Amino acid sequence: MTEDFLSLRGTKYSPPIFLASGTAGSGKELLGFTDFSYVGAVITKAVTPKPRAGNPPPRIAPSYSGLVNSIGLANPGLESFVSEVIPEIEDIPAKIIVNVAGEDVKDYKEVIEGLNPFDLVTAYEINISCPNVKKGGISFGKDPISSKVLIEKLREATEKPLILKMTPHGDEYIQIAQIAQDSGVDAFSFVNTFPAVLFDIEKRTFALGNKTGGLSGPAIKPLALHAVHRLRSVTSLPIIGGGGITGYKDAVEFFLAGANAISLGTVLFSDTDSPKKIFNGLKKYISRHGLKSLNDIKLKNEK
Amino acid sequence: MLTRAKLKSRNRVSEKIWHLVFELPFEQEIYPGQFFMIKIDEGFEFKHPFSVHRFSDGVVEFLIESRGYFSRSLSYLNVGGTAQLTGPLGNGFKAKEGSSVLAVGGGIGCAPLAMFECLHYKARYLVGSKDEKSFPGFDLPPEKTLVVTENGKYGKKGLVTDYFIEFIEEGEKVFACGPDQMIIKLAQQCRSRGTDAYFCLEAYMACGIGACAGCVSPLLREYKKVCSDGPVFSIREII
Ligand SMILES: Cc1cc2nc3c(=O)[nH]c(=O)nc-3n(C[C@H](O)[C@H](O)[C@H](O)COP(=O)(O)OP(=O)(O)OC[C@H]3O[C@@H](n4cnc5c(N)ncnc54)[C@H](O)[C@@H]3O)c2cc1C
Ligand SMILES: Cc1cc2nc3c(=O)[nH]c(=O)nc-3n(C[C@H](O)[C@H](O)[C@H](O)COP(=O)(O)O)c2cc1C
Ligand code: FES
Repeated sequence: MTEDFLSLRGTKYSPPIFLASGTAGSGKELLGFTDFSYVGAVITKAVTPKPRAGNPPPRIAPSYSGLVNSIGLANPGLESFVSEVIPEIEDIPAKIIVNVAGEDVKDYKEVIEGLNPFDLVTAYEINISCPNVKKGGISFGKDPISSKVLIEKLREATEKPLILKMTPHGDEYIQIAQIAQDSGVDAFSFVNTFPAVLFDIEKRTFALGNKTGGLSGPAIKPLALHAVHRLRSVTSLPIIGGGGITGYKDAVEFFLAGANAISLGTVLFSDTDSPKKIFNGLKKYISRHGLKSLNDIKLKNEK
Repeated sequence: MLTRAKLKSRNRVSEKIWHLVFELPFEQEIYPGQFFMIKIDEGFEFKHPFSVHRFSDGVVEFLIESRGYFSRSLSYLNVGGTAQLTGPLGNGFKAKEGSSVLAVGGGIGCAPLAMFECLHYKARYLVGSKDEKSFPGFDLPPEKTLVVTENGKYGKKGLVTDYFIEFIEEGEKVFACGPDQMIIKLAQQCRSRGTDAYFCLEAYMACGIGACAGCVSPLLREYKKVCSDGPVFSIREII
C-alpha cells in the first residue's frame, strides 16, 4: 500500500485514522494501550473557554450494540488546557486536533485564538453537533445562518485547518455543508451521535442524569453510512467518516460511502488497539482487491 | 497492561457468586480497590470493571456476582478459556506502615477486602450481605471478621451500619466498599466519630482509563472520574 494520508492545508495525517473526540481523552490516557503509529490524529475532548463540570450522573448507559452518553462537554477549560494538558501531551507520538465547543461565536473564537500559538495543535474540529448541552452545540448544527456566521468568523481567526463536526440528525447538515464549504472549512467530521433516550424501568426514571443523550457505537453504523453518503453527494471536501466502526470491514464501508478518512470512537471502549487492527485489515483488503490506496476504495457503479 | 489471560480455576462461592482465578504474570504491586476492565469476546464487546480480590505470583483473582449478561457470561467461562484483562487500573488504597484498618464491605463490595490479607495489612473486617446466598466474604480470617446478613441466616442480623459504631476500635482507619446507601450512612458515622475513612465507589464505566469522563458519581462533591481519580476517595471528597 502506498502511504495513505489525509492532507489538510498542508498537514498530513497518516494513516487517515482519527480517534473521535470524547472517546480518547486528550490522548495521554491511551498511552501504553494504543499504538499511535496507526493513528493519524487524536481529536481531543471538547475544549470550551471556561471549565465545564459536565452533566449530572449517570452519564452513560448501554444499549444493544451501542451506548447513550450525555457527558455534557465536561472539560477543564481553555486556561487549564493550555497550562496543564498541553505539556502532558507534548510527547504523544500522534498529531493532535482540538475539538472546540462553545455557547456563541465568541466562545469558539476565544478557544481558537488561545490555541493558535501552539504548534502541537494542528487543527480544530468545530463541534456544532453536541446533543448534550442547552446552548451552542447542536443549536448551531441546526441553523444554517448562524453556522455560516460562526465559520466565517473562525476562518478569519486561524490559518490552521477547520474541520466541521455536524449532527446527522435532521436534514440541516446538507444545507450547512454547502454553506460551510463556501465559508472556508477544510473538511467535515461526520457523524456525531444521534439524539437518544433510555429509561431505568426499576426506578421509573430517565437512565441518564441529563435525561437525553447521544447514541454511538455499532447500532448507528447504517444510519451514519447513509448520512455520509448523502453528505458526499453535496460536497467535494474531505470527509472524516465514522459512527459505529468496529473493524476494517466497517471502515471499508465508510470509504465506499464517500469518506476520505475514518474516525474511531466507541470501539476504543472495547479495544484500545483497534487503530492497528483496522489499519492492518484495510491493508489486506486493498491488496486482496488489487487497489493501491485507501482512496481507491470506491463504489464500482459510481466511479 | 492489556493481556489475554487464561482462566485457571472457577468455583461457585454462593448461589450468585463465583471465584475466578486468572493466570496473569505481572510485576506491579496491586492495592485494595484497584480493578481490571474485562471482556471475553475477541470482537466488539464493552469492557466491564471488576475489583481485584486477591493476587499472588502469576495469578489474579476475582469474585464475580452474576447480575446481568456480561457477569453471567464471565461466571460461565470455561477453565482454560481466556478473557482480555486491562489493568490494574485506578488509584487503590495505600495504608501507611503500621496503621490499622477496619475494612467494611457490603454485598459484592466485599470483593476487594481480601487484598488487605494479601498485603499483610493490619486489618479487621465488617462484612454484610442480603442473605447467605449472596455472601461473598468467604475467606476472611474469622477471628478478625464480623459477619452480618439482612435476614440473619448467617452471622448477625441487620446491616453493617447497625454494627459499625460498636465494632470499630480506636485508631482504626476505615476502608469501605459497597452500595451507595451504605457508603452514605458510613460517611455520616465516620464524620460524627472523626474517623479517617476511604470509600471505594462504583460508577458505570465505559473506558476505565480516564478517557471518556463518563464515570462520575453522585456521592462525590465534584465530578471526578471514578475510574482514574478513584475508585478510592477520601471522606473529604464524599458528600
Ligand atoms: C470499580 C468497580 C469494581 C467492581 N468490582 C466488581 C467485583 O469485584 N465483582 C463484581 O461482581 N462486580 C463488580 N463491579 C460491578 C460490575 O462491573 C457489574 O456488575 C458488571 O459490569 C455488570 O455487567 P452485566 O452485563 O452483567 O450487568 P447489567 O445487567 O448490564 O447491569 C447490572 C448492574 O451492573 C452495572 N454495570 C453494568 N455495566 C457496567 C460497567 N461497564 N461499569 C460499571 N457498572 C456496570 C449496571 O449499572 C447495573 O447496576 C464493579 C464495578 C466497578 C465500577
Ligand atoms: C463518551 C463520548 C463522548 C463524546 N464526546 C464528544 C465531544 O466532546 N465532542 C464531539 O464532537 N463528539 C463527542 N462524541 C462523539 C464521538 O466523537 C463520535 O462522533 C460518535 O461517538 C460516533 O462515533 P462512534 O460510533 O465511533 O463512537 C462523544 C462520544 C462518546 C461516546
Ligand atoms: S470510565 Fe471513562 S473516564 Fe472513567
